[in-house]
Amino acid sequence: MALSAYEIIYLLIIMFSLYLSILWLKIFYLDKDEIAKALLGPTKSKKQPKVSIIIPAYNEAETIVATLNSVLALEYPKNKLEIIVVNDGSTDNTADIVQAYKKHNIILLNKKNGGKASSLNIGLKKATGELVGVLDADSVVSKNSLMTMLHHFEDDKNVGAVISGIRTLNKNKLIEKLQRFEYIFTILFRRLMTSLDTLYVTPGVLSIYRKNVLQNLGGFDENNLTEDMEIALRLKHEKYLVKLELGSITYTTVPSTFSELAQQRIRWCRGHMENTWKYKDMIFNPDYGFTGAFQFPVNMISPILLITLLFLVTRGTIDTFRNLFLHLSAQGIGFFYNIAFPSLKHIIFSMNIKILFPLVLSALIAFVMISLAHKFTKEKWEFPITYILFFTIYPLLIAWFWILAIFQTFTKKRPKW
Amino acid sequence: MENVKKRYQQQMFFTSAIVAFFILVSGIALGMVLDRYKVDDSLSSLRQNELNAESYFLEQQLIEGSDIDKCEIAKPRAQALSEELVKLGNELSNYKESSLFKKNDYDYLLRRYFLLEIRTYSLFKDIRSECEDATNTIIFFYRIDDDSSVKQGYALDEVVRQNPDVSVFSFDIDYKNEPLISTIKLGYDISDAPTIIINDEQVMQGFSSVEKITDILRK
Repeated sequence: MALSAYEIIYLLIIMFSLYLSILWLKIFYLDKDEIAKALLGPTKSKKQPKVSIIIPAYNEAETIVATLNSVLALEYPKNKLEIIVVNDGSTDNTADIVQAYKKHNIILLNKKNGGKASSLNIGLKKATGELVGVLDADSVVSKNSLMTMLHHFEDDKNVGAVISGIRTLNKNKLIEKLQRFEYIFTILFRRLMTSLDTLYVTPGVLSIYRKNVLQNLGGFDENNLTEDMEIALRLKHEKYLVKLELGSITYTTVPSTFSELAQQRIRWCRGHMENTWKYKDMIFNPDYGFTGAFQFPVNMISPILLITLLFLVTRGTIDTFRNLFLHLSAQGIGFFYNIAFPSLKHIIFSMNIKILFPLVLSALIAFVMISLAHKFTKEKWEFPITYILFFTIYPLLIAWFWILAIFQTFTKKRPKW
Repeated sequence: MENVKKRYQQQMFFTSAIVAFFILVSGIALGMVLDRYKVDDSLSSLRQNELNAESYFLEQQLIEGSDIDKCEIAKPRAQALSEELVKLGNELSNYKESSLFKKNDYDYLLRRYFLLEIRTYSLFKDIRSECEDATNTIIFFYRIDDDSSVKQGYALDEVVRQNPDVSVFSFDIDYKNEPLISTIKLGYDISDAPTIIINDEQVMQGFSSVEKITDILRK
């Protein structure tokens, strides 16, 4: 059977993607009743423990007002809610802005610039709540986002953290629209990971932790590039559960330029590698359930296949342009006279069915997942071109970020936030 | 209940892999079915062309010695044969790129195709020796995956577009399964690709531009 090396690699990538798509779809159908319950009406907590929300801030003068207003609007007893802003050595007027909110009993802590994790740890020391929440100063929460998360802590004492379903605030530029779509998709995937108990990140846009668990674990790692991933993995390492609450809706500001996006994603990729190495004893380890046996290997294989796909696509594109150049240089103006539209028979007979068939099925499953993601996040279908770009160009962009992240890791370049 | 759910979840990893593998194998199987159609289709075209060539030869024998102008009949028929051959050649090379052709099937078709080309070329040689204002012929030796050969192929397409009376006969210089090709190479002392031979006289090794070929054809 004549299969070229390139065809074998393409088929491996498609097979991996197909396998994951089918698996996530099956997981969805196994848990669809639970997921649908969240849509009917989020479960509100019976108890109302004291919650301390820590907002680390570095030069967030433009966005922190909206953040603070949204937190103050939370549907939660005011005497059970403690808001702590940690000013991480801002050079703009962030501190002055927060100071004006003191009448709302917002605590402002000022410190020398030391990074987000150090700010969170300062806040953690000050926090008096039974539960501690983390909220980025460029994010906003919806009114019931906190109330809907807390029942998980009552339902299961092994729950160490609960995260919210994050949407994007800004969606004007193409790059923001792409991220909007990515975040919608991510909400569904994180909910499915919750079903499998493989959720491995607690993002800074409203994640709630048990304070005593955080303290016993030693707080946030101040030397880590992605402390939100590191703390989640540490929780899982100590056999705590991390869950996503679909009914908790929060919004964050996403990078609006390519360079901002690159900076963010390269840091995430580097943090991913750093934390995978830090918790390498979990890889393929059934003691850590599906996280060790499945999620970790998938997280390791995915970037490798993405980078491989980038090389294959680049090679194919170079070949196409090279062929076009040869064609043009051989025929000159005659090139335009020699263009002929192929017949239907020719098109069908030229198809590489063994690649196309699984690829088309993979695309169909992806479409089903997109539909489910929109349905369960109650988001509208907007900007159709985004979907095409998301499944064609965006993965190649992410592959580039991975390559840059690997390069920076090995050249020990300082990361940028 | 949790244990049942966990057990079902574990089974899902396995069944998902089975389903994905099944889809992959189905794609390969569909590819093989399509290849079968391609082989049958190419074989059918080849047989049709071989019949047309046979018909031409018989026609020439029948009109030998009669008052019918051999050249008047021969030229258009030979031209039609040549055009069909080009189509068939393009089909074979396109299908090869995307197919699961068994090597033997493809080699067999290719060998028959090259033989048909040689046969048709010999018809053109006869026409040139017996008829005035005969069609021009170009034998083109190419090498697979060679940029110069690809470029030469495009140049020859343009030459044919500008000069519809030109017929091109293409051969893979590295093809070993047909001794006649080696004989032709030996006859014209061909060692590398791309090489073109214009009207049995002018041998040009390396890339030849459209202008250069057209100038020679005009002489």
